[in-house]
Amino acid sequence: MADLKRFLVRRAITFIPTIIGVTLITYIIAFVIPANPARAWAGGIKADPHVVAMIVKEYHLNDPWYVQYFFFMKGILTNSIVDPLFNYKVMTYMLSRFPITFQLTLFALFFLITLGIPLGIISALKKDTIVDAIVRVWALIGVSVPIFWLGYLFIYVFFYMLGWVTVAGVPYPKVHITGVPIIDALLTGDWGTFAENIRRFILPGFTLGFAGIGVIARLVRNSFLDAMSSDFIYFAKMRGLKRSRVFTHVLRNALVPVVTVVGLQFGGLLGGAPITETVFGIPGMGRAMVQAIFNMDFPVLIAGTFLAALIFIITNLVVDILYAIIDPRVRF
Amino acid sequence: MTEEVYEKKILDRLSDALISFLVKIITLFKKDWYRKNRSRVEEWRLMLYALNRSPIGIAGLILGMMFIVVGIIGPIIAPHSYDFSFIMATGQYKKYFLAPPGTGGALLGTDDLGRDLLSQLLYGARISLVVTALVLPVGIIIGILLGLISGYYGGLVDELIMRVTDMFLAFPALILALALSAALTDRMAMAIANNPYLTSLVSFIFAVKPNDALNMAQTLSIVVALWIVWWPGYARFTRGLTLQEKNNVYVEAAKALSMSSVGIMTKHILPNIIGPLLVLITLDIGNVILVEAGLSFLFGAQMKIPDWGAIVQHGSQYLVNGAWWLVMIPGLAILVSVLGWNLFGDTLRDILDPKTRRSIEFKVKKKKKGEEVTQE
Repeated sequence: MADLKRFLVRRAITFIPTIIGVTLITYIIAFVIPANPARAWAGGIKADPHVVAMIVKEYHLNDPWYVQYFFFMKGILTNSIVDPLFNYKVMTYMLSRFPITFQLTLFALFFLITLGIPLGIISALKKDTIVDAIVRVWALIGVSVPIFWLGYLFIYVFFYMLGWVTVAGVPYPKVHITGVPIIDALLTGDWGTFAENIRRFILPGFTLGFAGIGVIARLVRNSFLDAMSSDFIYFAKMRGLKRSRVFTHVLRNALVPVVTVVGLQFGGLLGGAPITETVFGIPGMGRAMVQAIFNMDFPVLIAGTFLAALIFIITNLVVDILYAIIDPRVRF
Repeated sequence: MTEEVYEKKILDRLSDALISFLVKIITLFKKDWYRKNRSRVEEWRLMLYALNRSPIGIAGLILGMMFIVVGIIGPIIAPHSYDFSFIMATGQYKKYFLAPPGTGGALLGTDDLGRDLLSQLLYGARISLVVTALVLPVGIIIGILLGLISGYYGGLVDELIMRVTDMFLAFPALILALALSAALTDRMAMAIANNPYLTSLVSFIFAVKPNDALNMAQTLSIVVALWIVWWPGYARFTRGLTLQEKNNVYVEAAKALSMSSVGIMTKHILPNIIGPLLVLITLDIGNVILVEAGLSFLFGAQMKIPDWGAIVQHGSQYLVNGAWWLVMIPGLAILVSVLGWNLFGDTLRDILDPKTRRSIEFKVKKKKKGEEVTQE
């Protein structure tokens, strides 16, 4: 276990320059923003010049870049940047959107795992048959479908034509524990809200997960085939192990790389899924960023970008550590 | 010789002719090329035979080529201009407001302003093609160069380049591209407005009217954002391939012959890693189309140009009126274009990988029968 500790320390050290780099890149975004958004923030062409001057001063818009960078870093770390348009703290605002994005990602992950893994196993067992070919083509279609097209197709069929699902609002349970509606509903046993949440999130979740399902299925198929042709499986068969026992051996080995890929997908989606959230009108982080663009609300945009990267890095770190724990062959 | 030959079909003759033509062109410039590269040309022929045996790959290639051809000639063959309105032209508001496909003159229907969907799609194909053609080469070249340098030299250079790459890869790509292109738009608009040459260039390559050139600022900022998002993946990938390749004996030999590092990288390492890179590039053509459509969908409300994503965004407001065609048809156009490149790329992966290619070849090889002599 000493090795694991050393690995963790080393991983944590490489974490720091990446974070600094992320703040730099985020700052570049802030830097290329139109020379002076102050006028727009103050209310357009007829804005009071005093107000404009105040905004310029408060957001250091005319200061040299290192002052801006310092202001920006400090603002993010201490959560002191206040939104110029709506007067809330931007980091607090973005974080308040996080539970919804988290719930959406959970649904996507659910489909990713419950459909992707079985499909992969089936196509490995039925290698080079019609089933395998269908899964292959599905995987290719999955990564080719524009998410918004799929989303609107579902809305048209299941909402407009059949009326099976809802596409407005987010049903919250009465009690807040974690902030994630469906988990709260589950914890308090509020089954009505639980069902409503499923009705609301099942389509967005499937839409968001659709591309990943095919990817996971192909990955599971390939790593399953790899594992099946490895020496220890031949040995297990030779010893006369039952088919089901052999199968569990194969599965345990085949699923190790899948953990990484699912983890990476999860991390990427947690940062916000702007397209899916826009199509289904889900008030998550991605939607907040898109709205911020239309309002020229750049502090929110920057905070969102930074937060997405931060969440992505942290999930990757967790996935790396998990991987090291799951797979004893990984040398630290 | 009693070797196995291929049963040639019409496609094989076609691909043979294509390669002979290529060889002829190259020989025009380099006299001795064919003699020196004979085995390479043979290899190309075999690859094309393998491609010809894969219906999925051929379908993908055809769809991909269609995307390019429609992108080039689309605005020329479009029945109307992208901003032509049936309502303005005929005054029949009731008939052409959200007219379903097939309504007099509008083959694919019209939108709320009475604009012809088919014409918009054809203009949109040009925008999609130009964006892809602008994004990929830059991203690829920067990425491959940095990856080669980083993998070949190693040490501090490698560490430096890879740290920077990691910083960019630390962002979810779509979010970074979204934020960057949103931030860049105004500067891009200023640049276009202040430079008449740029204005005419933009309106020419995107086939939009000169007074719409300013509206292309959004698209151009998407292009710049995608440059920034796209290269790190290539740098990472190329570095990995280079690391594997540089330990080979032929690299040692080239070094022993005191070949320059640049020469080794470009003449020895690059040709040996180009296969996987080509596959990635093909798949990425589809990816760029998809990501660009996604971004233009998100920016849709601000865009007044017939970008595929923007058409969907605009049409989505009328989905509740039952106007499915405004969303479904442009989406289908994107799907088909992307799918084409993905199918082709997936087949290319099998073909360029010597292991899987042999297995395809074995399937199609036939024993030479009697005197049936073919040209090789």
